[in-house]
Amino acid sequence: MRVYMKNLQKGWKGGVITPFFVSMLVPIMVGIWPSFKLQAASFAELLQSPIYQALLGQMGLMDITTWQGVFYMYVGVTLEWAVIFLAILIPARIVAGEVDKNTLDVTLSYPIPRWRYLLEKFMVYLTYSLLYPAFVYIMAVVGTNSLGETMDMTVLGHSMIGFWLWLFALGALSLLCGTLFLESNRALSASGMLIMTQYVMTRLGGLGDLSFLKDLTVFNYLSTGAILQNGGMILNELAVVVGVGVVALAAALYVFQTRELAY
Amino acid sequence: MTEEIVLEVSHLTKIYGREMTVAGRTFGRRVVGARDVSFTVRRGEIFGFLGPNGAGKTTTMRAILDYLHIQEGSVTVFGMDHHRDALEIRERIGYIPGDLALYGNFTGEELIEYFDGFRPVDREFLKELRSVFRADLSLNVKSLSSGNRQQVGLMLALASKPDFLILDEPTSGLDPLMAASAHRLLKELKAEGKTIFLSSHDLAEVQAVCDRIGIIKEGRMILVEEVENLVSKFLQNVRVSFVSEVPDLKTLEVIESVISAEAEDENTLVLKVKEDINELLKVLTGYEIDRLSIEDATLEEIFLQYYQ
Repeated sequence: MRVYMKNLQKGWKGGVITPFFVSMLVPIMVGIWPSFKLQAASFAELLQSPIYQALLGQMGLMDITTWQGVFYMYVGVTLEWAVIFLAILIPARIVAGEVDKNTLDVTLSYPIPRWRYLLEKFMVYLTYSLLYPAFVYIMAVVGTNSLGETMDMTVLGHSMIGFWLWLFALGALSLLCGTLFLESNRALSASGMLIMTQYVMTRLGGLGDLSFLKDLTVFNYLSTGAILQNGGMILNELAVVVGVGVVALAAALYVFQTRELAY
Repeated sequence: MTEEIVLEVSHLTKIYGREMTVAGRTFGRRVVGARDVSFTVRRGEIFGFLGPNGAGKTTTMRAILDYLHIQEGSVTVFGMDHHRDALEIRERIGYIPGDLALYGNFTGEELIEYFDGFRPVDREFLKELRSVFRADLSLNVKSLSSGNRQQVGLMLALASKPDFLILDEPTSGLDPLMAASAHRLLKELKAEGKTIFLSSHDLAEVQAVCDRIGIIKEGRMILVEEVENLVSKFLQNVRVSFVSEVPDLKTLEVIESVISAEAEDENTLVLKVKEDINELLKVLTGYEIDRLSIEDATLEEIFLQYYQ
């Protein structure tokens, strides 16, 4: 676990500070909630528009006249975008970034299997990714108590696990792009296209006859809205997301282990 | 020196890219990295690998390390297949790439400790390395000069005192004093039975430290020879001053071993002769010679000759 431990230690600043800043959205929401609450009914009416419903997906089904509804809608959308950016930008560059800097040549001359090296580096990403839902969860508990509002913390916990599993599955797809293309620009383009296409398909799937598009995307499974409506984890959806992640990760490890490093 | 073979490269061929012809039009491009390259490196020797940029040195080295998939041929290190037994081989080798890059946010100390987990460092030898190299290991690698980074790279490659070192331009960027220290270290390692395979553009370095050299040109190995033999046998500079009649340059140039012939002045010719000088001497006996000098060419002259 040397690669994991060393990279965890080296990446702690960005790894901890960024999720902390993202989670600061919760205290901001806590601050504005008392005044927002008074106008929530008129916003709720606005959100009934089919366009908003399509854009927000299942977040649009939230009752934003309640603290829980507003929390899920805003935090859910923010975390969704955090997932998109993180999954596109970080795993794709785990290998490609090293190829760009030419640091792999020395490292791989040591007796460590390539797949294990990659797995340990991906685990660093997964560990720091865990901090996004973890910090948001802690802030939500503190904020909800300070407001005197109610929120089902078990469901919230399951939603946060859902976000982390998205980061795992989409991150594994992005990692696969990195091992296939080996060069940052191409790897980022491929992973961006793969993930953004899924996001757009999910949103288009909210419009009329295009609902089949949603079924083809990771974003359609374990969404915050669905977990909230279900009142907890949806096991068959969990299997889909974990399955996509495991297959993509196994493919990435296999590709990196066996491919030639011609650059 | 024992004859135990540490590295055996046999008919190695690596071609980059693909070409495809559709309806008479060719798409893609094939570039020869190495073609039918064969040579061996014996235990306890320093083998210099020479060639201009793009000749195939790095391709061959990266193929040995199993970074590249070769189309034909085989590579064995310590008798093990370079692909199938890659991990076992890596336990016994040290490598420094030509275009060295290290993790910029690690200090030299951290890098040594980090890689110690993969291939244990020889602590006693590390002390010696610290006394030889002057790079400050407490600084982040990104803040070091290229010469100091190269020193850190050399320390990493050598720290575990591996049985076989693959060094791609190991003294690139080092000042002459540091390069001389590195040469001494390599010779010490050789004396201990370690095997070194190095590429270099510094021919004085090659002449100073290598036992044998291989010259690669356009992906093909064109010569493998002991350095000593190469210098004495392969190219000689002949300077002849004639008393009166000077032979026609064209007469001399047709001799197979004469590579070039130039008139220095109206009575003196300077010739470069490859391998057998006897045929030239036979021709010269037909003329009245005032002075004749024969000198071994430098490795640089030999090298340039092979590249023309």
